[in-house]
Amino acid sequence: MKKLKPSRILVLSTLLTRELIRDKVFLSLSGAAVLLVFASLILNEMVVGIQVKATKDLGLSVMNFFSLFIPIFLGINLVSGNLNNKSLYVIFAKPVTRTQYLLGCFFSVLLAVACGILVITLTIFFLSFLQGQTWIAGLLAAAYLTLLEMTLILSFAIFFALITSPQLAMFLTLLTYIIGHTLQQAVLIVHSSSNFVLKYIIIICNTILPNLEFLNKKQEIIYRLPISFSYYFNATLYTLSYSVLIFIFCVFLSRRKEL
Amino acid sequence: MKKSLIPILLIAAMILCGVGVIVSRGFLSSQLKGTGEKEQDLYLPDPVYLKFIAAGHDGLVSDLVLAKAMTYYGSHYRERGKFTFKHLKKLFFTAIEMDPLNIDACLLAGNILSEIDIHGAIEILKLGMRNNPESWKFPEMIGFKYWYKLKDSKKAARYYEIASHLPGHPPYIPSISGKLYEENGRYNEAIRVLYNFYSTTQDKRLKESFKQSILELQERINHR
Repeated sequence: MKKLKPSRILVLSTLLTRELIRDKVFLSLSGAAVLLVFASLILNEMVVGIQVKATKDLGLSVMNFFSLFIPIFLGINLVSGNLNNKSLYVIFAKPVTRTQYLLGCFFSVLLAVACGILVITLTIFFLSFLQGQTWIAGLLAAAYLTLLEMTLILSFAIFFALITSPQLAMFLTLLTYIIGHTLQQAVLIVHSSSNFVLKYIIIICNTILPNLEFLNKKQEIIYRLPISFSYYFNATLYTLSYSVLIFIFCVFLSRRKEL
Repeated sequence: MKKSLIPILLIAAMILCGVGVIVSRGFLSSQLKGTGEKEQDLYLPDPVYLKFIAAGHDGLVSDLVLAKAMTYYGSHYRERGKFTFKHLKKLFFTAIEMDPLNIDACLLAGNILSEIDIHGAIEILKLGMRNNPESWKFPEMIGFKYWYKLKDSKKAARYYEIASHLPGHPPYIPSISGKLYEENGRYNEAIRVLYNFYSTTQDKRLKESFKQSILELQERINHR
């Protein structure tokens, strides 16, 4: 592990994060996300339920979608772009290994995701506050779970960026997100099905692929239902284990890749 | 073409386009108004599949469906007698199935729907009761609908009794339940409901009032 040199990874990820945050795509996505959260003011007029329900619902969904687009658009472009435009040669001419570079990419995108989540979190807090409610604990819990979810998605995005073209990698990452959120429901739907092949395919997929519904506690958070500390611990453990596993695959792939 | 003519032509073209926008807008909005009077078809998947499509954003989808239900009801509110509101029940059901914890939405749906389809309203309220078994508001409202809308005091009494066993219920609920049982000549049930509240309440005035009612009912049983 001596070879990893955390200081180099830190320098690399700081530089890459700065580049990502200055990117027009990041800025326009942030602007669109903030505007969308503001749109909840209109939706609040038409929705019945707990105080500022629409702001919370729409805000948390926007937070999720917005942070999903960062690994998809920026993360994949960062890895594939540097591979394709040969700027990796310049980087590898410096004393940086492939693993260090991948870790740098991973942490830089994760940092950009965290910045994006922070922007949305502050917007939701501000809007809730404007409407007479201070919502902090739930909001922070939701932001944390979104960050965990995006860590998982990011590891898949880097994995796909290494094995396919950027466009296909974007599509596959988006598919992973959709499958991750729908598998649990799919299991319920096929549970009573007589089609055994379909049933077992879904069950196998549910076992192998990540279940992102473990990290989706929006309803519980919005309705202030208790979520135990052990749940957060297990969710963190699940995310870290899965992400590290995928990342190890990425390291193997990058070592075998001919530049 | 003379260069000096170009700005004039551009301004003329702009005015023409502006007139075009105003005319077509008026035409389109009158057409929209025309279609609004008819019941249009609504494609809304079953909540099981909609949950699948929502990909974890059930709350937001529920809000959007609820907003659609409210605008659908609101935009035809003045035509209540003529308009059938055939999609309202499905819209409310979907919104509630997508977000079962939204008690207020379910109660509102039950209340609005009772003006159009009382059995549909009761069905929605029963769904809310299943999803939120600790809330006294659902059995109370179901009881009220049976009593006031369907004039079925037997069923109403049963639901008021269920509400009287749930935490946080207001004091009038056991009293209504007792009265409804009494109306049906079911004095023992009435006493049971009133006694349940009498033995659990801490309020002295309420205790006295319920004690009085229980004694009156006891007397009636004795005079039978």
